[in-house]
Amino acid sequence: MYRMYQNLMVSIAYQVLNNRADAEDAVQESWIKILRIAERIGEPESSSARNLAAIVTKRTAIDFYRRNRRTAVIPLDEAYMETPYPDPSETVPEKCTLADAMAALPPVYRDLLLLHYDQGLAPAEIAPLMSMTEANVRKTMQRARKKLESELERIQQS
Amino acid sequence: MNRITDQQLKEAAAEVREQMASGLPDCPERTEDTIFDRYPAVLDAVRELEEEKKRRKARMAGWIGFAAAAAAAVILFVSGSPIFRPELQGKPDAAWTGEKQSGDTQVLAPGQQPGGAELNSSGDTFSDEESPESASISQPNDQIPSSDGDQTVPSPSKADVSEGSAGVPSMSVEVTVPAALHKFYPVEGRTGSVQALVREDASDIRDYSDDEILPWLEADLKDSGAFRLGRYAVYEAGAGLDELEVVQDPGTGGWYCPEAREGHRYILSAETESGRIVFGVVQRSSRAPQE
Repeated sequence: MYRMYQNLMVSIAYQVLNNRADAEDAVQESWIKILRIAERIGEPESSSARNLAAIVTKRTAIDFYRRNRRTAVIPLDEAYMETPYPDPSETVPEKCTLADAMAALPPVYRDLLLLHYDQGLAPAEIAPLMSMTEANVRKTMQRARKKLESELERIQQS
Repeated sequence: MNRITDQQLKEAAAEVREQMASGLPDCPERTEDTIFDRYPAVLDAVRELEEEKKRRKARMAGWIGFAAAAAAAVILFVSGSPIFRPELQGKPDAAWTGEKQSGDTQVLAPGQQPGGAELNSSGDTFSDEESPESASISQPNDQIPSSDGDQTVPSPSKADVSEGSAGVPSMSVEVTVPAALHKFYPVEGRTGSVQALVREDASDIRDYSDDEILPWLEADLKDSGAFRLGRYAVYEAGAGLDELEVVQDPGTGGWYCPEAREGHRYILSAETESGRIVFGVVQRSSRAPQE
């Protein structure tokens, strides 16, 4: 997995942190997190493993960013949510599938849903990957589902 | 509001994952180093994780052991083991108070009919106050020669006393520890009794009163042959650690102590093949000398 995804992970972390050394630190921490769920990861070359590496790295890089810029006024989640993903209302197509709506969710919501429903991880396993408490993971997933349902309904009505 | 099922979410998540994975940049594989070369902290984490797994396994083994011990206790209870016989529990320490009990050891004068053997389950010596006057273990089914050598005294049915050979002094201590006893051994306890008894498999560790233990030992002794493992040593109770000579009767294979005197108490310690001293017992019988 290291051979396959190391460069990808550094690249993702660098996009968030814009600093090579910080990106390396974030990737190292990501590997340690991934190690803890290593038994749950299937084939290293699968899209599932690739996606997991990406999600964990991005989230860890964001944590690094938050730690390094504690004094910053702009909340990082905002940056995280907005940087690579446009507003869902703009991207959800008219003929909306559930997958489209899920892809258009704010990244935190989407990542949680992916880790839980696609990777099959329990909230307790997701919590350290996302630097959240287990209770927070549960609550956020609940919100994500609700948001997904309301988005679907809004699109259907429109 | 639309209700989304878990199954729908799983399917959607798989689709999103494929989209996302394909959207990730293609980065070349890294072959010039390993993760541990690059991130030593990962190696530490691996070690820590392995330690944690070991600890978890040890904890699990502990719980399994506890469950097995509990199951063994239940089985013993259900099977009516003497350990759980209520009539043997909570009674005064009659076995050690000099109160005579049926089938108990008797100290016999030469020529007198042997009534049994006295048992102390401790591995340590014991004092006069703690004398196991009535601690009976086993009695021979054989007939034992009387003191004058010409009178054969029929032994009680429980008797299991080894028989000495001719030329043995008139008073001897015969130590016959059955093999079954190797599963008992004393843990430091009060003198003259078995305070803690540990089974061979260590599954049943607790304190036992003399009243509990003596009938149990009796039962074990009754059906067992002589204890023939390892080394024996006999000490006089309260007289230090000077070993008494133990002689084996070539005829019967029984063991006895020519120096032993009537009215004194003795401790046998027996050592198993594994090297552990497993039991202390006094079996006292007054033996008639054989001409």
